[in-house]
Amino acid sequence: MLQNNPSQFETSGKSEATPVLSVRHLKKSFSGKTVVNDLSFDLYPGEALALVGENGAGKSTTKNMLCGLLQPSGGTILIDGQEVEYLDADEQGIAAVHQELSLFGTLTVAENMCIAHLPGRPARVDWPKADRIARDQLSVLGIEIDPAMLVEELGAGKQQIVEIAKALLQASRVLILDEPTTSLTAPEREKLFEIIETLKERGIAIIFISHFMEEIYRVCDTFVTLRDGQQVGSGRLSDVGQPELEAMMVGRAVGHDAHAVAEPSSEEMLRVEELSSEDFHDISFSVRRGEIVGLAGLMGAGRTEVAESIYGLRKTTGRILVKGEAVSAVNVREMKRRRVCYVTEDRRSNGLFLNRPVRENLTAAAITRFVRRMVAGIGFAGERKGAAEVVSTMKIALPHIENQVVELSGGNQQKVLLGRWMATEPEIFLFDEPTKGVDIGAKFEIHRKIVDLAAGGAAVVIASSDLLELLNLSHRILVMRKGRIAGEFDRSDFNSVKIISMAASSTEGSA
Amino acid sequence: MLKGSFSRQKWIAIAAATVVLCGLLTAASPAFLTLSNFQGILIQSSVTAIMAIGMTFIILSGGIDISIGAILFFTSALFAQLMLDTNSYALSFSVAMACATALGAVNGFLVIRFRMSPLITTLATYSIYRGMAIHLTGAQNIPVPREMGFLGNGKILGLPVPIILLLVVFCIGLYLLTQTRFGVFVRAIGNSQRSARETGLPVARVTMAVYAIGGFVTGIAALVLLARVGGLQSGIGIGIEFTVIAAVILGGTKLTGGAGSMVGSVIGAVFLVLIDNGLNLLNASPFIYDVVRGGVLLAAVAFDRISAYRQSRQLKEQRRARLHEAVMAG
Amino acid sequence: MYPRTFPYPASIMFAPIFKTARIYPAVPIVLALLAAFSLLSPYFLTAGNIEAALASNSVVLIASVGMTLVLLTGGIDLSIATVISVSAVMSGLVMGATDNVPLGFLVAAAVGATFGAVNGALIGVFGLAPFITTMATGLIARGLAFVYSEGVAIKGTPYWMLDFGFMSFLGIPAVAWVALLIVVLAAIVLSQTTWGREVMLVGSNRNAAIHAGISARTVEFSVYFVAGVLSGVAGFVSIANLGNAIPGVGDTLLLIIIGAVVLGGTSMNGGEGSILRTVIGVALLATLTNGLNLLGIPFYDQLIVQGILIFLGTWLASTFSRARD
Repeated sequence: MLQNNPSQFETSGKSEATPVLSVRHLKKSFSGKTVVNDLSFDLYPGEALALVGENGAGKSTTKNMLCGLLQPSGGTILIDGQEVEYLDADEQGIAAVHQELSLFGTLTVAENMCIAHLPGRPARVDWPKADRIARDQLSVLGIEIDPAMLVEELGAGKQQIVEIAKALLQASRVLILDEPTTSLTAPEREKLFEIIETLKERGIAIIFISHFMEEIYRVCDTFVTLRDGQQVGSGRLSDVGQPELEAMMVGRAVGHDAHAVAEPSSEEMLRVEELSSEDFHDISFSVRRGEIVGLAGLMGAGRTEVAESIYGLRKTTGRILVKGEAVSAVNVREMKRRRVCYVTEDRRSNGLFLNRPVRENLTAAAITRFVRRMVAGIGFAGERKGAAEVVSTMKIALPHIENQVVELSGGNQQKVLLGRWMATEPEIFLFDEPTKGVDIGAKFEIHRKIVDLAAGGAAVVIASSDLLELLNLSHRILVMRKGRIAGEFDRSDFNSVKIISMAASSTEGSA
Repeated sequence: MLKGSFSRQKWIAIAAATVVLCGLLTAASPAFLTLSNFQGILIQSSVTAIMAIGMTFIILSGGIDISIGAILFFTSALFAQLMLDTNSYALSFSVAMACATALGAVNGFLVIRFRMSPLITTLATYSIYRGMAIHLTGAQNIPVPREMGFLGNGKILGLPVPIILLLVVFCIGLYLLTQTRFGVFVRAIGNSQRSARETGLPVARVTMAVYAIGGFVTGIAALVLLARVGGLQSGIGIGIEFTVIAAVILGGTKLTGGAGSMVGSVIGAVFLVLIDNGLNLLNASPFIYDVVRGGVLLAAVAFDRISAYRQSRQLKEQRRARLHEAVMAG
Repeated sequence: MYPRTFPYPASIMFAPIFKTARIYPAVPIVLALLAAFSLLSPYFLTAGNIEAALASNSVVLIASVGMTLVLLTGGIDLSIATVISVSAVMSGLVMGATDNVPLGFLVAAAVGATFGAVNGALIGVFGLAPFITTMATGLIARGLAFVYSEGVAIKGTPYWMLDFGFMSFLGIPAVAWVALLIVVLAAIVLSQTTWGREVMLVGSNRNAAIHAGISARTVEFSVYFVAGVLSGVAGFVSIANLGNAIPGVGDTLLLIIIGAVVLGGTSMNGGEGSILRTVIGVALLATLTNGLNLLGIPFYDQLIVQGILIFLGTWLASTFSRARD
């Protein structure tokens, strides 16, 4: 089942001897850490290759190397069988549609699409021609968008289409699509699939990065599976069933870290009822004391939004009850008072004060606790000691407590973020991607800490795209899909393949 | 559809406000609605309007230049001094204009090369240029020859020269902004420098160019002002940068860059002069001008914020409705 | 600059030296200037000169403290300079009419507080952009200063105020003591209170501060409010210095105030800086101005040097702080 031989691809219906794009032993490291290792595959004209893997598996890095944004640390890239020293995507006719759109909101659709190669002369842009080019491209996609509209006026779905259309202008040989359907409606998705078929007929090769199994099987011919930066499988999709593919993605636990999870008590600590906002609909669940509830789902499913709403950062309709008592005014201050804490997923943007010392980061959530009472509100007695205590408890490795947080490694930064909340002695924890970008050792310690917290009587909710993490830690897993709770799994029924299916089913309907 | 593209024209608001103000002023004084009066107003606003055209480019690219008042001063001083020494129009004009452009280009160079905020950079050059200007003239007033008056008060084909200059600069500026690659790049960079770099746009060159343009038009404005006033006077151009920036903001250009209107900037400059005229009619103390200007600017900024807030609220409602639909369907 | 590639022990070894240079890049410049001017002019290090310099820079120092707080939250206040003017004018008018100095002080502070509150409300609560908002309120303040004074200096300063301007304790002018008191208070509040900590955190990362439970809006309102009050106090002090309330007293100070704060090492992005750094920045510009004055350098050439110095100093400060990450 595990196929790693690139020559397996030779049963293509379009018999082209030379692949348009090949990689051999492709490798990428960032400051000593290998993110992608020993990647080898072939891409033939007229074929669509699926790049499959979980978050953090290395798909984005691979994509960036293939579209010329990153230089590989090792291995070779071959175009038409010839090795290329430095990949000029523009010249080679390779274009990518990234997850993060790089459009200019205040410019029109036509301007965005043509900006790299504006028609006409530099001193006299041929606007009618730009409009025509844009219109033609968009009509190929069969979507009605007025090229004179400003990009910022379009919804996320239409913006994604513009991005795709823009890439198509440049992609004469290879088109890379990174999660292209996250913001598309069903009819728009269908159109996209039609276009991909047309492109394949024209001999253009496609690399398709997606979580959605149905789409992969619908559109692609071959696949490469990544897990933790390694290539764990490749071959033709016709030879591999969906469950096997999913199993390849998830694999077995790396460095066995199952934790002993204690039985939760019966006291209900947190209850949300019919929570709805513009990002999610009718969310209801409850968490008991000592219980760890996992929130699984793909990006855009609404997990972060739900967690932020419970913490009071967003407005919603519905009810939130803490220890049986309804919270009338849901805001951060109130929820903190009720011993709720939220550990954000994006520690760099929303969590840490990067240019402040570790000490200040550790006390940020409970500053008043460290202010000396004797001389009314002056002085931070005990701050250094309190911070040092947290450092030793959480085993944070740092040169000095006064150093800026930005100098710490990802794992230690995350520990600082966690440690900060300990000072508020919360009873309800909301974690969002608690081990994203964290090394194995720190990951284990953080998991251990979470289990200890639950054992100590806290109620824990973990939103995570790391399914293994949830499987290891949770008593129950709730699966979110497109803003709703699609289903629930009890620990005794944990089935990773089923969970992924439920989260990734792009067709409406029950799992 | 038509409404969408119409209301997207950023200068509509300031144009409407100007019309309303004209109406009010006519009601207060019927003599207002005469051609000669309009001409007079346009001439009065020509200096700031010309400068506002350059400033529009700079703000559109995401930057700002608060040293233009000093560039104005320096150019005037240089020209007056050169005329005094050489009595050659050709030499004085060309050297003065070249210097004005150069000073602007230096601003651009410093902003791009040293990567500090344009505010602090141009605050520093403001001081430097001003010092240079006063140093040049030894803090004295210098008259300019009478022929210069033509530039300020003369007419060509029946139209006052300052208005013609304003029209010319406006047309060139509008063309640059809307018909050239450069114009697209300016707006793109103002919207997102990161994306612009990733797309491979010539960020450094465009940035230097916009500041150079700012310097260039300031040079023209300086000469017009010199001509109208009759010579170099101390205190010339003090505070003008705020008037120019106000005109650009009132005209609908966002301070954050990427979106704006050159037409709006010119109308904004005229609007500010109209306010002065109105206050004059009311026999208000000359000192109240600043108060009213500040108030108008505040109102404009607040108004803009409110409409942005309403827009985002609307978007949220739409998303909520769509989510609801999708849920009901599946 | 910062030896990041060195192994642990060496980086700890080098840290203090680099740290000092990083945090206070202006210090070596001040020392150099002091040395240079004392060599170049025999009057530089005299008691009389130092006293005069201390007195005339008190206004700037007080206002700079307010500007520091605003910059620390990542904002900016362009109205500080003209609020100094309008506070002085109002205070001078009241004192001229009532001969009541404490009342004059209260009026100055109240006027400053009003502008500060308006700024704080518009920027902190309603989320308007600081640059354009304070530019507008600054215009309004300037206009009001001239309206109420009709463009001329206010007459009738109480004698006590005039005396106060000449008073001196331990060789240091009374106004400088006022400035010193404010500086010390501000430094303590900024570094030792919850509010001060919140100011730094909001400036460092506004979103993270909100996530941690800090009310960014309240913090932002308060810094503009305090800056306004301090501008008012500075305006009051300017009357003591100059003998009269002058409507344009603050207008030319904007560059010096911002320059001093940024030169001292407070970052315009927020979250980095201190009152001490601002004091050093003010000291630097004060030393420069004073020294150049004594050397007979005309004011316009001083403008050039000032501009160059502010530019270079700011660049140095930002380069050093960027080396950190």
